[in-house]
Amino acid sequence: MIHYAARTVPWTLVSVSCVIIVGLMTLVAIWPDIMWPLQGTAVGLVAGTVAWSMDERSAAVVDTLPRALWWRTTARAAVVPVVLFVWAGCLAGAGDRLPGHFWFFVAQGAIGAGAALMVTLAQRAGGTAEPGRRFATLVIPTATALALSRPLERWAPVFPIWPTEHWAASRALWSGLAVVFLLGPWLWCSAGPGHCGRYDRYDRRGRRAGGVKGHENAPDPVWVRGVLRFRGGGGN
Amino acid sequence: MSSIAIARPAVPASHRATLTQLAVLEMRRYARHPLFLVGTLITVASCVSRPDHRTGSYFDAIVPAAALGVVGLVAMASLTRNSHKLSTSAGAPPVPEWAQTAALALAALVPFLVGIAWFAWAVWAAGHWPAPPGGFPFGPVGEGWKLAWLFALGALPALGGPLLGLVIGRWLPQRGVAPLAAVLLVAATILMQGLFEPLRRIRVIMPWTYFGGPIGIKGDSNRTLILSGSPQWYLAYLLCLCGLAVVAALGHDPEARSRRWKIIGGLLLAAAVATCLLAMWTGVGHTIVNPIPSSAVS
Repeated sequence: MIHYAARTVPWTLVSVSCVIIVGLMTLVAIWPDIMWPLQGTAVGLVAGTVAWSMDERSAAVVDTLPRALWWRTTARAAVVPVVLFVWAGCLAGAGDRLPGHFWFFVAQGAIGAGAALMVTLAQRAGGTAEPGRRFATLVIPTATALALSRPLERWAPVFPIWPTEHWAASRALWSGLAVVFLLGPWLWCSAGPGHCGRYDRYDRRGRRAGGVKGHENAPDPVWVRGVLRFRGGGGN
Repeated sequence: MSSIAIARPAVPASHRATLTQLAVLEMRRYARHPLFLVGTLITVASCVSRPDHRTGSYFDAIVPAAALGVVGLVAMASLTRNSHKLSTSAGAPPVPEWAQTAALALAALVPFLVGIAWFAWAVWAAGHWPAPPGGFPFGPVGEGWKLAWLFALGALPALGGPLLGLVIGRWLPQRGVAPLAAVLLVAATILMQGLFEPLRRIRVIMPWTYFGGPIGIKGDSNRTLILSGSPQWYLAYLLCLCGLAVVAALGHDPEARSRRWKIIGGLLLAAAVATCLLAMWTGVGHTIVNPIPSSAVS
């Protein structure tokens, strides 16, 4: 698994992103009042970096190989602790130059990374080869725009800084995002094998097998059965 | 011998007709792009609430600049990459690359229209909720200065951002380049927005910068200032940058690199340098401090 992660995660892109995150948070730590929008930008970059790592550009090939999607995703998820370590390190390094909400800021990065992981996993299970590219393309500029423009900041600030802002509302907002993005894809995939069921049946070592507990009788999607028949295979 | 009549697809009579069709298609694609929709939503949401009472709608210019410009940079880079994929997957591309690029450049008019709508709102809001004497803008700046501020910092980035995205999409289509470029551009822009005194004169080199605001002085951290430079010439400089971006994107196609292309590019570059210097050295000569302290503005 380590060998797989070392070969498939885009470490150059991850390294460049981590260097930029450190650079952005250093600027924030030096001039927090002026540079604060870069904190929200960095949160978006954390999520985007995780998302990029979940792409499988050779999906057409690797989907036919014995290793299951969950096994490959677990290997690729090695990037999550790396990015979160960098993120938490930046926050800890800034110390009391940032507002005194260290764990809230850590949670912002963790929720961003977790959301990226869950959304890209759900899309990858649905057959999209490069869901991370699409997710990162959406989340990084959107986070940047929200951090810069701060719309509706009086009611629900996405990236609060000033002591007078509604920190409780922001916490509630991020908690809601956590529920939506972390549980949403899981619930969607749990709804039935038709959604993410293409990759359901693997043995405990992540190899294709006859079935796993709870999914022994789960049928393949219609189009998969059609392809199998066309090739002279069985299908269930 | 028998002859077989092969049905050929209808080919438009002229390049202009082809370009128009392509431009309409690309405009539709841009208008449906999720990032454009998100950016428009953020811009509209900012217009719902009343602007800050000290600075009016002048400091709301950051909203379309970020939501339509920065976001548009990534959206256009993504569209450019996808257009290239589509045309190459068809085997021999049905139209030359420069025509596709020109169509994408015209698609940037979609966010620009939203930017112009924001500009109309901002002009109305500036008149409807004028800033108090201790607010911003103040003193010896005329209507031209104010309108140039709103157009250069609010409406024009909605065109410039996507055009920069077109350049990135053509020349650097690799994964991650456009979002990371947007992030670095934002960081550099914040550093050069006039808050740091040694950088104030040269700040107009950047494609987005302030010409004043509640920057503060010693003893009054919220005192409003008017910074040196001319927003009118800065607006001309930004228009030259937009033109240069189109020229640079078209130049990715070797077919487009004609003598005419080189002359236009050279002229635009010369005009950009000249207007940048004029934006730097004309207009307000030095930083003007508002005589009314910020504490006097409730």
